[in-house]
Amino acid sequence: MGNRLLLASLCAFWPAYAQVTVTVSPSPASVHVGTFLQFAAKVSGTSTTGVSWTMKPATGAGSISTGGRYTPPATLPTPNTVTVTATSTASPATSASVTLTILNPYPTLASVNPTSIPVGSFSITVNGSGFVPGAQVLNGGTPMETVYISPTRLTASGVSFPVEAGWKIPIAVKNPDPGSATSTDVVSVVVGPSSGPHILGANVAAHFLDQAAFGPDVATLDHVETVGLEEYLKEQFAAPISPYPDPATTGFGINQVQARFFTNAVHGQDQLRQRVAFALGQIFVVSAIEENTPTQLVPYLEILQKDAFANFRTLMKDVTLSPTMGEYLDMRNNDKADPTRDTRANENYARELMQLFTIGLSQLNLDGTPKLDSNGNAIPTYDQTTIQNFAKVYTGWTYPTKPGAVLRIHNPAYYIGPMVPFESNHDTTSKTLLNGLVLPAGQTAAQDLEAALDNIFNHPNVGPFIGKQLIQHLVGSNPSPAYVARVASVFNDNGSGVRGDLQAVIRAVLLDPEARQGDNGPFAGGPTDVPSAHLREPVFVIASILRGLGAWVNDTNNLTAQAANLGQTLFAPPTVFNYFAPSYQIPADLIPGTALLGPEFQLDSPSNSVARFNLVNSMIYGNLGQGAAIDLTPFSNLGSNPPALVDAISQIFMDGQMPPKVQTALLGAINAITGTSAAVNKARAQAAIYLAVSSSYYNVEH
Amino acid sequence: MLIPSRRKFLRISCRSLGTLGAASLMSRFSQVNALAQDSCPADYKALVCIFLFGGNDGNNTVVPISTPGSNPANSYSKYAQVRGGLALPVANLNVIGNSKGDQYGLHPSLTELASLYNNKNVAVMVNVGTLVTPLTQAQYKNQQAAIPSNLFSHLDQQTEWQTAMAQGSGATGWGGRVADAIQGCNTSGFPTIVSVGGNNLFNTGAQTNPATVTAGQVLGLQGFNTSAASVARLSALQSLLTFDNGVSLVQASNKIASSGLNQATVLNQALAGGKALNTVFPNTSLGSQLSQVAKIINVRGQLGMRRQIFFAYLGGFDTHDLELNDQGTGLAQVSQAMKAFHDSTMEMGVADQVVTFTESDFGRTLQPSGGSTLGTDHAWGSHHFVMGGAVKGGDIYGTFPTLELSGPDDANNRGVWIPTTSLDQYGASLATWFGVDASKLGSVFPNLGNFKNPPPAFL
Repeated sequence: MGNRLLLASLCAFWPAYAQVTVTVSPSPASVHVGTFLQFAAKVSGTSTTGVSWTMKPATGAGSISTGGRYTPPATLPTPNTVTVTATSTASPATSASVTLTILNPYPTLASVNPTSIPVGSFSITVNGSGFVPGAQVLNGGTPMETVYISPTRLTASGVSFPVEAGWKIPIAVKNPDPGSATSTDVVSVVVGPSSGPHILGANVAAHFLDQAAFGPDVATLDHVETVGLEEYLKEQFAAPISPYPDPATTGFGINQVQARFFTNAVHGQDQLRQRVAFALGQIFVVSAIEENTPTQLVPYLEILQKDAFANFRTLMKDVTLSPTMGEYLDMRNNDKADPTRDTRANENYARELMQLFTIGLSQLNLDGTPKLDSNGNAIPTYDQTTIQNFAKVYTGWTYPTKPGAVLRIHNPAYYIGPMVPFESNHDTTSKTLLNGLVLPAGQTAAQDLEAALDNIFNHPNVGPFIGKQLIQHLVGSNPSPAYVARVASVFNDNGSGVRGDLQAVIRAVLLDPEARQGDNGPFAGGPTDVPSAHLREPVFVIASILRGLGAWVNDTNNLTAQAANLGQTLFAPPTVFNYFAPSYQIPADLIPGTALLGPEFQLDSPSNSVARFNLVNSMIYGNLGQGAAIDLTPFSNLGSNPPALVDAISQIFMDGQMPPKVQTALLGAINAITGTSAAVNKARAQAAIYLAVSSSYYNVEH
Repeated sequence: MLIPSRRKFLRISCRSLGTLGAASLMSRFSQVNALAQDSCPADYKALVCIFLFGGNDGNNTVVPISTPGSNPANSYSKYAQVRGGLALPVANLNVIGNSKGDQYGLHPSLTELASLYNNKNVAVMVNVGTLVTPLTQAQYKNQQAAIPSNLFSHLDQQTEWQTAMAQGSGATGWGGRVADAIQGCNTSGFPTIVSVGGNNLFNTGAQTNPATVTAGQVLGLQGFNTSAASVARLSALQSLLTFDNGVSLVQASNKIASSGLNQATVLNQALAGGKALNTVFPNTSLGSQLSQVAKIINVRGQLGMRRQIFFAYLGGFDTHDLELNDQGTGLAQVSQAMKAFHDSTMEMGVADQVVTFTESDFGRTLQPSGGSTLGTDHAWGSHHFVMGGAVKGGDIYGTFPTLELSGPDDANNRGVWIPTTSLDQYGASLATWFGVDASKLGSVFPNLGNFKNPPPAFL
């Protein structure tokens, strides 16, 4: 009050003077290590509203950018407060300060070892990130006796009870104050014997895990041998989803979302869901070339995860109304025809939903072969007029309305929840769709959409079109027409009269005799060219080698860069046509006299092939940078016994079916490293693993 | 001067290949070439294909301003009327003329290409596209003649532009078939085609497969040295690549890996002897690719090449929305990279021996599509560029379509141009200049015989 009076009296004598004030928000402020905080400064009393940002202490307690973005240090500083000051550039004597409290990081959980614990006393190792001294492992919410090992590892011990046998107990990590927070990742352990009598051969289990998971690791291999394929699938259908980081709370960038994919692929307990979601993401393509922030991408990845085991019709609708897809293929803000601007409805989503996501270009038989007209020509599923009619169906939708905002014809970009209709921008004329279905004039956007999706979903092409692609992604490149027909039949009817049941389709894909044909592959007396053979795509090369080597990875890994070197930047295919086409044929001169599809071969150029050798070199001899490490000890321990070393590599990486000539080659390289030291044993393991996993005998699955 | 086409032994000494794969390199590179020509020219020539993925909008690439000589029905005002919010302001266009006294405008981002056009180093080929046979509007609408398969589909139209087989799926590309026809003229076994854009069907022949180079990536195998252990591991690696196992996919993967290792060895050796180029390339995707192409042309002698084909690409032309922004960005990159590449051919003294040309999935509808930002949909015939000292530049080839919805050139009602020059004719001009005998053109472009008009005379 006194100041204001003084000011008023000053102004009376000195009219040119204007009081400059600075305010900073938020105030007070706090921020977790591993995230960031954006400050805003409001300057009034001058038209020059710029400020400079400083902090105290100036070093050792994080940093503040010229734009006011504060990034904490990697670990909690002492003391855990800093003073952030914004100083007016117009009036350097004027500033405002805020005390910022730095909090412990949010803990994230990647995996628990072992994944099954006995009844009674047990101890576990917990891998993740953001752990601090004083962190506690929670077992079903109960704190366990915890030992802090590192920011990415804790060990804990406790007791489980007979009544819990067979239960899944959720495991979480709670960081202490300041800013105590508990991990939200879904990771659990099963109470019960970890292993029993094996009912399957290791070859079958290992081969199956190349199809239903990102390759075998030692523990899962043992588990599948114990419970069998059917039971493993049941467990997998029930396993909770390994989450992606929530863009709203983590402040993560796209690279950390890509990193989480690899964390989930290597450690996630929902391997099958991750595999299927990744396959669906290569059919229902959006690309991070355009959808390049977690805010855009994560909600879409969550749809794929959630709907991986849902009904295909649900997936179609969720994808169609995804704001991310709407942005990628231009269904959001798709205006009805405008005579004043002479524009027409955008055809992009109309075309690709049918061509790429559901029915394809030509009519198919149940077995996926094209129907032919009397002249032997393929019969198109639709023409340009059909496209223009569907384009009208997809008019009127816009981004979800932000909480608190009012629906507009073109809502501002917002990615949480499904797109919403702005009815007066929907084309209400009648539309003629597939098989002559006519939608009457005057329907709402939602009515038209449901009817159009039903029209496509019920087209007889969907079963063979999607069934064959799921086979190609999960099992092999060249399924027989009979295999496609068996899967398509299950798509059409799961046995209970339900069409589009993806769980039933996935079971049919994975348990088909043709999928299992490679259990005893060409190097174990099986036929030479099995339909279940395919080339590993780069992302799988990385994930499956890491699983086989018992690696650990966390959200700071940079494995995406490794995959990009091999032509596959995670979540960023070059176009809506994915990284490779399902119809890609292996060039004739590579396999004279044999015409085979090999979608993944489209990425396997000569230079990318060299890059794959160099990737394996980095993995085995160099390092993968932060956030990913392998432990060769189990293999190094066999270094003094070369045949046993080769056998172990065969078991984990070649379904126990390493051809004799490959064994001979590996033994030659092992035996050229002489001596008995630990270093020699490690070098032998490195040489043998390098040769095995860089070879085509590993990179081609059967 | 003609030299015999008998395959010459690789001029790079086997020693330069190191221990790696010399034997397999020779066996792979010395397959008999059934299509090879009987005689070969002795000079050097290269073709460079730049594929614009997504379907570049030709309507905003070459805009009629005043064109009484080539199509009096067109004018800037008619263009602007249909294009509406997508119309490029006439003042921003790069104005070019032609031999008929017309005025056209190139997209504002194509400043460098316009300047090259005016210097007669660039020609424009208008309304070229996939065709099986010449096609009138009536024939198309009444389905009275063979029509390309799956028009308006990206993948199919990319494939048809790359295979020059507008019906049915070809297993080989037209670049690959040109290489098949000409391969014997090179004096080494290094692949005639080098792709800096990965695997694309354009590059695949019946007898030839391309070398690939990823611009900016390390060439060759890392992690080996001269220790006994390392030598033994390399020898094991080689044996894994070579022994016969009878499994097709493993064989295919092994062949690709062998090719990659061999090509890297040969290229590393050749590039190490190359003199650095002074031309500065833009630091863009296409700039880096064409810089890599220039470096390889620069060591053509070391590689023993008389004929080379290169494949480069740029994506991002599927402009369903944000077209004014996105196409401008893409075309600026094309124009700047092509200009730098042309400069580099001048620096190397091969400007008259290198021809660069563009391809793309298709053109785009003249009529815009609505949305918060305007774009266009998939169409058909479009306009393309041919660049090089040998090009009869500064002129427009082909017949410019009438820019009218449901007009005489429209396949439907949104301005979808039925091509008046086929890709086969466009390609035949390029292949003929490159040295493919007239008698072999039919093997490269199977449908060429359906077109009675001579190929465009831009070379």
